[in-house]
Amino acid sequence: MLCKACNTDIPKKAKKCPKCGWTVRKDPKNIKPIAIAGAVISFIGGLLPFIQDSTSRNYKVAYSFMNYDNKAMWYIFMLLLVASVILCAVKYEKFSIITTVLAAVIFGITYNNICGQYGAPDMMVGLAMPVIIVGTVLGVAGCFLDVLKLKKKPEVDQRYLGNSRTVWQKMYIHRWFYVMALPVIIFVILFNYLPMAGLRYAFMSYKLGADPSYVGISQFLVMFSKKLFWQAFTNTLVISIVKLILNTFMAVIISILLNEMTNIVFKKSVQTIIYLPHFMSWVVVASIFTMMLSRSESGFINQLLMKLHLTDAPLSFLDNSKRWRGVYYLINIWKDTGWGTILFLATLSGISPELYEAAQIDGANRFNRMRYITLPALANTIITVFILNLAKVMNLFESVFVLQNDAVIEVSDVIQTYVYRQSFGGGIPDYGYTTAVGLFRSIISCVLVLLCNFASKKVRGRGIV
Amino acid sequence: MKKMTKKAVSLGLVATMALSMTACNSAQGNNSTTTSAPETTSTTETTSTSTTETTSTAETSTEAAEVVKPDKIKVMWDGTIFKEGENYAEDFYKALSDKLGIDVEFTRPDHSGYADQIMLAFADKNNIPDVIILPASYYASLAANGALWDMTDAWKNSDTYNSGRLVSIADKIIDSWYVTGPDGEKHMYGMYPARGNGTVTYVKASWAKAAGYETKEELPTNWADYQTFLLALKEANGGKAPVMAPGAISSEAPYINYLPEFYQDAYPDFIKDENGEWIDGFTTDAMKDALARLAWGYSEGVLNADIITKTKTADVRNMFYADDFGIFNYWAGTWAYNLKNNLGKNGLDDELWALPAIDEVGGYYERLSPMICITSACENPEGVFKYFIDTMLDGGDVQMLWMYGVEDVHYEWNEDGKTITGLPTQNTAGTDKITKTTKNLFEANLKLANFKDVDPYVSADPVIEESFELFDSTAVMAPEVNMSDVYNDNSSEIWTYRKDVVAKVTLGEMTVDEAMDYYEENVGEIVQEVLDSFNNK
Repeated sequence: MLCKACNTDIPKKAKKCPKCGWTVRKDPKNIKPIAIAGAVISFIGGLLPFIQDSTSRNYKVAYSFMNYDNKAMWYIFMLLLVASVILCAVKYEKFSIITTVLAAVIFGITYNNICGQYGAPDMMVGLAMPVIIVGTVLGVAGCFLDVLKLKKKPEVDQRYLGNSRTVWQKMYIHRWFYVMALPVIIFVILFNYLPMAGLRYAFMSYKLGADPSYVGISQFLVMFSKKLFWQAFTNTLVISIVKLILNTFMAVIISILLNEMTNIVFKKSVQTIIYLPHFMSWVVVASIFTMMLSRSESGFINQLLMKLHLTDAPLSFLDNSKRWRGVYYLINIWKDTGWGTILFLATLSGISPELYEAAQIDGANRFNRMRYITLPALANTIITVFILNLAKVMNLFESVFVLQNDAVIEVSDVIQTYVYRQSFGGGIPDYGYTTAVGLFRSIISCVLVLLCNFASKKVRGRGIV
Repeated sequence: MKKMTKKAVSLGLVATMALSMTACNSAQGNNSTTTSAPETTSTTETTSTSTTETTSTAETSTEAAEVVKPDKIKVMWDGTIFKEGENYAEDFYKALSDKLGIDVEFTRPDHSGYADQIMLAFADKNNIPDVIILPASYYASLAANGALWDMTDAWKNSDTYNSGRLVSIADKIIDSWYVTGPDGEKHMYGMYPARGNGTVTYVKASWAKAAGYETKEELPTNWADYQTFLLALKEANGGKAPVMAPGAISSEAPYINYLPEFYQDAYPDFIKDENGEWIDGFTTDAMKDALARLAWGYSEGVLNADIITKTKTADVRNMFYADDFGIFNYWAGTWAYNLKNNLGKNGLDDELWALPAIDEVGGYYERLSPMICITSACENPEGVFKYFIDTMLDGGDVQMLWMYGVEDVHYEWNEDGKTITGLPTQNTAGTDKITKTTKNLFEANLKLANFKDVDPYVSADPVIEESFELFDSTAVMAPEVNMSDVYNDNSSEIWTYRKDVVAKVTLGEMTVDEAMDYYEENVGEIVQEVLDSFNNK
């Protein structure tokens, strides 16, 4: 472990730094995330219904900040919570407590007014109330604990602390760098964060020709009650994860085989050929395979199987729900395996030839050299690639969309094709519903990213985000 | 110096950013209809002939009102008029604008993705067009949702409606334009200057002759004979399946038009029964029989094996041109000529026989035409109706533009001065090809109003007349498309299962009974809710 004061390597079990005398003490756990989580929970609470009709089936009659006449209250509420997060992050915990409490007060006033305006015997307390209470308590308690320094930070001799300036002082010193960063920051806010305001439509009914109206969490309730949604959700996870495992496995195998090739011209030729499918559009790929796998005379595969007497009648592939996924995985392997080998080949080229020579002298055959040198060297890259791709498993659309048909919807419908059908599959789409499905997909993706990050920390000692 | 450079670069970047943001904001909201005050016209002809007792009607029609002529109209149109780069569309746009005295700005999304573009167009409130052409199913949905302007009264007081030039079948067609509005009452939210047309079954004479059917009079007239005919065609043509269609069920109303012999009297959407009560046509005995016929067709190899995977009409047309199959149900009229022409180009026998509807079918469906609508976002709907929509069937120059295009560009007058001949079309490379222009938006046979003087139409090929006459002699209007909030919210789910069932039964993965149980289990409750909403229960 390194000394926190002078960065000297401290021997194991040593109680003091041999150079500066710093007392070895474990860092207190970072408790800021509690306060930040509290503010985020309150923020989410601002989207939820304050009061809702207890009699309607899907709780569509609901009232929140969004249908309160004075919209400024909602904006102030959100800005205060954003301020809470920022203040907490820049170590102004006391101010963060104030803004969190102020946000709760704004909520209280609005809640009272909404009850007065829309309150009726059939109305019940909405989800916003418990959520915002929990959020506020966490937000305040998190900051409070941080302020009190219940878990004190290790004391470091001031002589070894190079820079004790405040954040503002540091920002002033580097002000021109900040000015240079400003365009990028504005772009990111405009094009990455502002569009997130559209997520509010997940809590609204938003159909063409009509103004959006707040419906609370009813879109989510409808979503969770639909069999097709769960079918799409399950298919997304199954198809993506199996595809990921197969593609990674095949890329590793191909990389190892390529690495074993000694004829450079042949190796480069093979590499070029297997990279090419990656650059083909999925629409073109789908057309080619639909034709090749056709049951009619144009179906090359079926004609071949019949010529070889492997089957008497043409087989159905893309319109057979039992075979569709297998064919889909094969097409994916054909298209993307080559491209996936690039990282692995780069890693393999970095392995010292001396290791192989030494192993050869020690009597290791080809298989053993691969087993004891190549694969361990690749392990870290395999895990990294796997983890990075795992975070993208919910982003499955084009490849499935172009290959699916009415007969295989049951096994091929994924979240994005489901959303597409909901939007353009007939009737007037409710963008509120499709936004809710999209939001749910984003949350799952976010959870997967965090899980991957956690797994990465455990496996590699450092995170990926 | 170094510091100054940093400052200068920083400020430069910020300035660039600020300027780019200014550019982002240059759009000016809904800049669609613009009107000029001076060009007003007194519409004294809008007398109260309407008998429709609706509030909106009363508000807009009964008194002579001043209708302002718009300066500019934004129009969104699919691929049904001349395309840019292919047939001098720009000349048509210019001629239309000149003739109307209005700047008509066309937006032409790709035809195959047009339905998606409609939804996107309405999602951006600042850019909703003034006029839009809508497929039938979207027409009912958007009308029910209040996205379209109610033109009932304007139509009843229009020059076209009162011209006395409407064709005899017009009343029947116009009736189908009335759909349920947001108030639950039936109104007219769109029009189309022609009939909807429909499909007829074309049989390649070469295929039929190979099977021993030497003349078209020998073609089958009932389902039993048709089955024998299909099997004979398959046998005589190397085992190739004789029938192909873009999917076993279509995505647009009337859904079954590409396989009428198999569906016969079945209709897979909500329909009214003999008592006027709405029922689910998908669960009727007729539909069960239709599914059994589809399963028979696929198992016997008379339906092409790719019928489920190839759902694009263009792909299926190409298969027809390549002689992959011999029976194709497609549009009557000009398309008969196109099919024949393309077969000829591929060096195949181009003789096509239009098959009269077999006894069980009775007559081919006439679809509800796509509708030309004025959106609720239009600032001057009365002006747009009077100066744009009402002129489409003026019986003169504007009607000529919509039907045939621009003189000396798309057609030329013959020496007799009474008839016209289509001129060669232009392909994307800019060079002329053999095909001659036959129509612009609608065919002469389908027009809803006659010309004031002589109709200058001359058919390019007798096959057009023949197929249209065959269609027209027995055509029946497709069932109306109904819409309610419940159906709108669940139509995607219901149709997913309907298509799933049709595909699975056709492929033999499910029996008809199993499929119906599967359908009932998954959407039975929703279907009942939809029916309740239709029947006001």
